[in-house]
Amino acid sequence: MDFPSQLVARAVDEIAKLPGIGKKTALRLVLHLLRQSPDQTHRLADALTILRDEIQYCDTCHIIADIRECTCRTVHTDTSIVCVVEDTPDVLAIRNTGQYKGMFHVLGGRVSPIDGIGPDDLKIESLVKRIEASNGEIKEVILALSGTMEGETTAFYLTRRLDSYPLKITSIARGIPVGGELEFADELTLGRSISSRTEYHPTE
Amino acid sequence: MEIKTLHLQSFKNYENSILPFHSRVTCLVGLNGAGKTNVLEAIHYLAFTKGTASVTDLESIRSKDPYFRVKGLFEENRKEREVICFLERGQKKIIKMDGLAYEKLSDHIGQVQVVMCTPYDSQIIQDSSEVRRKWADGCISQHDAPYLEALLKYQRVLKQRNAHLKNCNGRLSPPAALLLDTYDQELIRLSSELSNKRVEFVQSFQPYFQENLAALVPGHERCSIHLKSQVTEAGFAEKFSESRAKDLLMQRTLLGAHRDDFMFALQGQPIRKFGSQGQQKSFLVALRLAQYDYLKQTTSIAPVLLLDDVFDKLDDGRIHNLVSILQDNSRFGQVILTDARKERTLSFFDKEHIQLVEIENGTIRVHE
Repeated sequence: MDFPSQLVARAVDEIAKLPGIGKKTALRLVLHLLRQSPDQTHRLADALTILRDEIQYCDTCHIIADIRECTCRTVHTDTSIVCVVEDTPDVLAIRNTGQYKGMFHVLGGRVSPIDGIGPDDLKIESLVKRIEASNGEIKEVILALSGTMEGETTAFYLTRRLDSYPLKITSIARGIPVGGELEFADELTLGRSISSRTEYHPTE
Repeated sequence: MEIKTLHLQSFKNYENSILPFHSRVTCLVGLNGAGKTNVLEAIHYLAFTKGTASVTDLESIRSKDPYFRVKGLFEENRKEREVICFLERGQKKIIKMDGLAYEKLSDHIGQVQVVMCTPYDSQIIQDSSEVRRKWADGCISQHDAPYLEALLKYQRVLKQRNAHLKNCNGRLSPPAALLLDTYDQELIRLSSELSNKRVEFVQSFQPYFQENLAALVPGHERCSIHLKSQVTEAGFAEKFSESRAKDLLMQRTLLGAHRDDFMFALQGQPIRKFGSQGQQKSFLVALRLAQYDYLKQTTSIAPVLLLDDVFDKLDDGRIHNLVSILQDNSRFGQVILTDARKERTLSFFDKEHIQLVEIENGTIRVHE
């Protein structure tokens, strides 16, 4: 796209680098900002700059927070159990279920050498240290990783890395969505849910 | 499975043509460059979402036209299905089944059963082991979904392991070693799953192949297919682990199912080196006919058989035998073949059971 204004072109280029946004959407957003009051754009720019400069990750669970000591240790949770996830949105998703009261540990991604991400690039050793430091208080590690090959490799790696500790290592169940029709499930998922079937409890 | 009509728009040298097909044998005749192969190529598109190895998608669009569109009307078990392949320059290729476009093109594979024999098949004999593995993997995947799943997973793990080896750059820290262990365990497990199924495949495929070759070649040149694989040998897991130092040095995985090769032999010697052109061609025709039988057996659907310039390089005796095989109504459904020499086709086939379609520079004339 050729813009008569270099300033517009530059803003569009930057916004179009964001995931899920193409040039057309970027242009629409830029023109929208120009129609609003200058304050609006300044507030947006400030928010982004401050976000970038001042964001912190919790030293313990590595969730995105404003401080380096988040509430993960002080809030009333079950401290005998850690749920390992890939990223912060996963924490929010699991928290929103209301089914989990334990602690979290954010790895910051999954092992994928193709993308240049090895075990050292993830917060794996930090998890090991956390388990060691708990002196046996942490009794269970739940692996809540994605069902891709890379997610499975990460889970497998973690299992091997943790096998010298007296821990119960579990993985979230994979299978039919609640309220889903069986006939619409893909064969892979259905096969997996058959092979990892559970005992039936009518109250659940 | 049967193709009733094929509609070609801006495809190769066709501007806008509709071809009807006989339910048994249709022969496309015409001079070199008339467009006989292009018809088979179009059917290949409808079955496999792409052409044969020889052309790219864009080269299939008639020169200077903006798009091509190929529509086939198929019938299977008295159910009609319309398949469309559409490609516009600069856009993604679209495959539609009964008006509905696929999200993933690969989902269409297996919906239209076709076996095609082309002059490019010689690559199966001549080229690297990868071509032969692809051929065999294609045969197995057509009816064995878990095999395809394992194969895709294997390729993914292999790619990750190779990338990891490269990142290691010859040195192995404790976490890197542990990650390598993780990949190794997966690769060893998947390798044996794949290679064992390939052994089974050769076992069930071999009888079909021998039968077809015997019918094609009287006196029978002793040919055989077998799998050469280190995976199925005893102690593969140990060998794989021992190879780690070499893998690190070479920065790629030296052992595994991706090194399997299918050996084609003529009287115990590799046919690539010791077979004449005619013998290699006979071998390949028998291979495709066996693939037809194998597919028909495993999927209970008789595929459409496409034979491009199949008589080339065969002597009259072998052509005669091939024609008698093809005229066996109990074995074959629809057969579509091409021949540049009309009188040759007419002299070998029973005229009542064959439909002749003459093609001249992208236009079509059907003989009643």
